[in-house]
Amino acid sequence: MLKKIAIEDEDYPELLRIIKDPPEMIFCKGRYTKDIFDRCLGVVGSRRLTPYGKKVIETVISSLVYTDITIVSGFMYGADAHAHKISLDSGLTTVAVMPCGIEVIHPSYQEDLYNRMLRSDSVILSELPGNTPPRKWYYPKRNRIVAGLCKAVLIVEAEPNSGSLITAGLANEYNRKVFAVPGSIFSTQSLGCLGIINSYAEGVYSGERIVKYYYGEAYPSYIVVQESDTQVGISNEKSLKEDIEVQILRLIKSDPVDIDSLASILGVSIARLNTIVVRMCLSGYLQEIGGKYYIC
Amino acid sequence: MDISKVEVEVSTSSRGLPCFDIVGLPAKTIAESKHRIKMSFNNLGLNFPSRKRVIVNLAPADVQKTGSFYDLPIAVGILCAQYNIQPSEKAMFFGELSLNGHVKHVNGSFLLADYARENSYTSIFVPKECVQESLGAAKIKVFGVNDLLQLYYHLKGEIDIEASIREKNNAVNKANTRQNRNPFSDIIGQENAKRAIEISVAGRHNIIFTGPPGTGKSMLAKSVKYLLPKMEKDESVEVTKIYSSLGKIPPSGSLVEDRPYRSPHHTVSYIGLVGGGAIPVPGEITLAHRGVLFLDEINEFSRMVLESLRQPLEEGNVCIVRNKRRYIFPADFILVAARNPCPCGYYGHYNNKCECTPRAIENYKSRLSGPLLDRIDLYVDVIPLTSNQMETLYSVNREDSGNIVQEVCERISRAVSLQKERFKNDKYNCNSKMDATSIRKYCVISREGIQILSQAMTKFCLSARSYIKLLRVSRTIADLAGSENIEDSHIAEALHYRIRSS
Repeated sequence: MLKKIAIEDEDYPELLRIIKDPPEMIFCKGRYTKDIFDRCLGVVGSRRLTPYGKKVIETVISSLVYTDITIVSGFMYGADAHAHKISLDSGLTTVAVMPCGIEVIHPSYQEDLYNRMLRSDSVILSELPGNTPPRKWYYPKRNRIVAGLCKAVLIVEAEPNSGSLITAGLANEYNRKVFAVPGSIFSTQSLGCLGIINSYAEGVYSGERIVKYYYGEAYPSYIVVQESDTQVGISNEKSLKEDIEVQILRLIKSDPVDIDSLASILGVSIARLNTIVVRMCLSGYLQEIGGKYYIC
Repeated sequence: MDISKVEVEVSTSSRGLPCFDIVGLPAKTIAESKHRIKMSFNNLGLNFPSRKRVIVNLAPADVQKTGSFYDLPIAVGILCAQYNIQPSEKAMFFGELSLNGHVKHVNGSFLLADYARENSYTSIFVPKECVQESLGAAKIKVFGVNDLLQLYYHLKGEIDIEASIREKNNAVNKANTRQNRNPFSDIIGQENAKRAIEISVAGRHNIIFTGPPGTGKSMLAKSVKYLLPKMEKDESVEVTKIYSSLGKIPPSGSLVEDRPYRSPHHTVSYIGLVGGGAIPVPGEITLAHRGVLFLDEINEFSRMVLESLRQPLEEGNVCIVRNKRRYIFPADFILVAARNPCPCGYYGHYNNKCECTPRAIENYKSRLSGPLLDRIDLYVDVIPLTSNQMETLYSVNREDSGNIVQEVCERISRAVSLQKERFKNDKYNCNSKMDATSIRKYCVISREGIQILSQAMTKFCLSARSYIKLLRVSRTIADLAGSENIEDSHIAEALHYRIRSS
């Protein structure tokens, strides 16, 4: 369903109207009802999403299940696309603010995601009319809409001087709450987040804090709170038979490790270690990406 | 690499106008022989029958003749006709003549000598520089001829040429033998990759290394050369024939004993890699027969060139059709490939400097098509070392790497002998080429093993072909461990090296 909403219309989102430089007109496709914009959480992050960032998005968004929070993001590949996807998986409504007209799918290979969003009663939104193609200089302007629509914004991963930080800065300017997730100090993708946590952003490690922010203390009690990683690790450990498998899990806990390093730290032969990690992958404890092992 | 016999017939006649003609579809080189032969006679003081009508026929008459080795037999024919002499035994002659009568080196003497031996020729007369190569074919009297005059005296029975003896220790490529080099000495860390190389060499499994620049992929691939076991006698003969036909056997060399290692640059042409041309010549893959073909930066090779590898990887030979004739060149090699994970090369690097878009990465990866990847058994991610790791591992490396390599070589030898025994009645001699029957016979796995494999099939999205590959690799791993049965741990390790699609 296509809709054209001018700033004067009643259906225009309130939070967006009050920013310094709101769009005169917004174009929407999908199930547009004004109440979608009552509780918006912007989820933005690096285009070069790491497996860590992926997991963060999954953990946080899935803990928002059963709430009325709408996830807003920019449809870019990386964090944005993953946020949209996980929202749909969790049954949440999501809004994609496009850097182009709503009839253009950019990036083009995410057509499936676009169609899925429309099928699931989510919304494609843009300031630009129908077939306008994307332009690099437009991205910061698009980001102001993401920040403007939301009560709070979550920065998952951000490199220094990235678009995600622009969105964070704008949200701060508009007096919205900025949450950010810290990461490894050795990861370029987390440096941006660590920077803003030191100034205007609040560091979070789970969705619980965010739910509290939106609903206050009285949030529905059946919302599942994610266990922290360490607790999950210990329960996994108990079901493992071998000492060495426990050691491996401990070594990999926070940072992915490659097999050579594992072998030299644990002092076992490669041949033996190969066998062990494959079994752990099959049992679902570990997964391997690009030669490095991550906890599942 | 077959030889067909060409008989050189020489007939002289006093009738008719004087002439000297060669018939039997000779190529230009052979047509030019006339000048070389005439001049040789003149310069050596031999009488050329210039006033006679001399016709040389190269039989069979309907097959095109090429090559410069007809000079000597034609000259011998003329000598026999002119001076009324006969060679005393069934003999074969080949060689090129220079203008002063000297007999010069020709390509392919090994093949010719081999043919002579098979067809009960008692002796062959070859250029001096080809003697060792011809002796490699064994069990035949080889006479090395310096010049035509020497041969003339020998044939007359006046001054005999001494039959040559095979020199010891003149196998080609001697300088590269394993005893002198520790293949892993310069590579720090990368134990995972080294283990994969061990498996690859033992069972002749194709292998691909993926990783950022500077991680040692090329060095690892080169180290394969030093771990290759020596060839069996029949393999040696095959490879020597190939190199002989291309003239790559040096004057003092006889048999090629070490396995060939070819690493063409990615700008190689289709013909250069596969073989072909107006008169088909073997390409790099045939030169790598029974050895290793290393393709560095495999993503940079043109798609057409890479696709042409499918048949040789499957069949062990390549079929080229030219001028309505089919040429089948052997091409049974281990493919070792190296590639970057993305166009800039740094995808997944711990410094994360990769600037490539997902689209670019997908395109880059798809250069290596599914079917080609399917023929590769072992997949290794080569991870860059951090400076800390380099420091610690560097000192460790120096100390006992020599011993470790020794153990690796022993395991490989053991695996190779096991395979030799296992396949003694089969066409192939390594695990990577096992057909379905052999797999059923030799790759019996326990019930737990089957469970692991089926779990893996689902979890890792493996195809039926992958299943077969895994069984072959497991068999090699079991052989390396000296185990008759394939244990679950062997299967698990084979799974570790499975092809990843992304």
